[in-house]
Amino acid sequence: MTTTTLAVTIAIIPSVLALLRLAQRDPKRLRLLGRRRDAAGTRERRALAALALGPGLVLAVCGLWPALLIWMGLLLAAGWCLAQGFAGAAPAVARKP
Amino acid sequence: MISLPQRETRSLLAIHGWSAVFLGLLLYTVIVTGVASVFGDEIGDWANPIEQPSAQRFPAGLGNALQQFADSVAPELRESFFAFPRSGGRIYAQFHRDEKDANGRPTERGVVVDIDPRTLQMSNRREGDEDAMNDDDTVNALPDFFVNLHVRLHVPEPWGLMLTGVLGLAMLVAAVSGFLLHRHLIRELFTLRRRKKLLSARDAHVVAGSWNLVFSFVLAFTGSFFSFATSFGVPVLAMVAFNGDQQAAFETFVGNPPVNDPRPAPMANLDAMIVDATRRAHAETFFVSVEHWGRADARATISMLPAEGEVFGTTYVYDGPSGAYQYEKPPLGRVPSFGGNLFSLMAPLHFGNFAGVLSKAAWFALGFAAAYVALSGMRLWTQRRIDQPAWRPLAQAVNGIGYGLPLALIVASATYFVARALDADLQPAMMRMFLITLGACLLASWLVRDTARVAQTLLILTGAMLLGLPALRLLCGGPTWAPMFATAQFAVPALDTVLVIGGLACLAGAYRTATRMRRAPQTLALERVTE
Repeated sequence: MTTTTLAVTIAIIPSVLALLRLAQRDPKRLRLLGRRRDAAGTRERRALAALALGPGLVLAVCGLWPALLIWMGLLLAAGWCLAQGFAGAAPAVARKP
Repeated sequence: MISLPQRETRSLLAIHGWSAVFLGLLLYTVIVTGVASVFGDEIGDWANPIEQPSAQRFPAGLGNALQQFADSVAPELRESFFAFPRSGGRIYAQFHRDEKDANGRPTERGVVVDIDPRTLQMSNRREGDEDAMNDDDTVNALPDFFVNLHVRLHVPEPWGLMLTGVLGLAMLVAAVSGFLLHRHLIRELFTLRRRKKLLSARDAHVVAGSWNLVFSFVLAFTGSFFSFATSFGVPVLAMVAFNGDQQAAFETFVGNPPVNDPRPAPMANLDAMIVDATRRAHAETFFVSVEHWGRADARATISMLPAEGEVFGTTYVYDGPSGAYQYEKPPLGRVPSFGGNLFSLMAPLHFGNFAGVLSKAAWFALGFAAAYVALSGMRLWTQRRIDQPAWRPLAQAVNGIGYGLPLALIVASATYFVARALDADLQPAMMRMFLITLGACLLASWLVRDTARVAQTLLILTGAMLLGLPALRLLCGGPTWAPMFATAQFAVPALDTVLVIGGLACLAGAYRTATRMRRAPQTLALERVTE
């Protein structure tokens, strides 16, 4: 395993997990499902966002530029997949906001 | 949150939508073929593997083979030389001189061969002008078809490049206007409402666009740069600063300023230079070029792949007759500069090839999302106006090309295998079948009013073709997996597997659409009750 692959693997796991939690507890999404109470508070969302983006900052500070670009690409693709995945799990007809 | 006055929002929406209406279908074509081209090298290795590959991109002993090739070429054609590996690792080597055609446009005349990386035997020698050199070039036919469609839509130069450059600018406009239009970019990153069909489509477009915004901007900018740099930038710079001499302009920016010493002098062996460059860069050789082969002023330029942990590779210059190392060449001009570094970032950011399959996979995923954004945006714009007769043809074209283009590309790939087995001209055959399939898809979407039904049928056909492509490859004489694993040519089993997975995904998507269509009346009834 090359340094780049290793760095990407180590960085992407916490980022995607944080993104997953953000998506699960996203206030706007949950409000549309009528589950406003399950939504994350501002502090929790900020902490999760920091956890999602932090590994990228570490890669940048370490000068691991290829790993940073790949991490960013994978994170963006994962974010889209998560959004699509949660839409699939949502009921076909949701309650009005 | 970006808050704009209502009037400006309306204007931006008009710009966003109309730019897509006029150029969206071509842009979609460029994006889809670009997504395929990310894995162009792997597609080449899959379509045309070799019996015995070499472990190195430029194998030892190649220098002697290239010298033999040089000896067989007329001295006046040895002005420029370059070589790089293509499908299966076969080395493409070309000698040429720059000339001007009857209209005063720059052209080339030269000799080309393919060199087997294991036996170092030359084959498929082509001589003459650019057309003659490109005729019967079958080694890289399939990836070349995708790349030419992506780079210039198969439109002759310079118009094709200019067209794709404009499409890149349209993508930039769409990305920027989309960013400004979407007021709650961060807040709605996970919001996909599924209340009504149209609203859900709007959310799907916006969410995909939001996640893809940075990448779309980068791709559009770098793509436009590559298209305009050679079709427009260099000619204009040459006109302004080089008295119209494009060759001189090009050499000043990216080449080595020529020194003129036409005395004959034998060329040093390139193998030693490649070994030295590999030792310096800690990376494999990407590309080799030589100016004035066989003259006292000969100079070899060796470009390297990015070393581990780097985004772009280095380039070294060697003295031709002695083979002595001269200097490390900056990407632009002779002195390292910030502009030069920015210039060298363009290629890795556009191609995503800086860290092998991993970076390509990330670029492929984001490119796929960009294609989805383009198609969903066009569908959204046209579906909203489908009741107006003037918009119906465009809505049908969006449906036909949106779902027909991937099918047409797969049919072109299938044609490649059949035409190769029949020893037919590959590029014309692929283009013919590509256009026929795309035309048939357009006709189907024109004749059948039910757009969902057409989309579903095209998706089923795409899935079936994807599933059938590995079998067709085998039927047309392609190798089985066992010799490919034995010779470490993993592109063949990997792409076969990806095609099967892609085919199954298409069929699953079509099945899901069919289920949704069957449930649609119930959903509508439920909506009426809840509202």
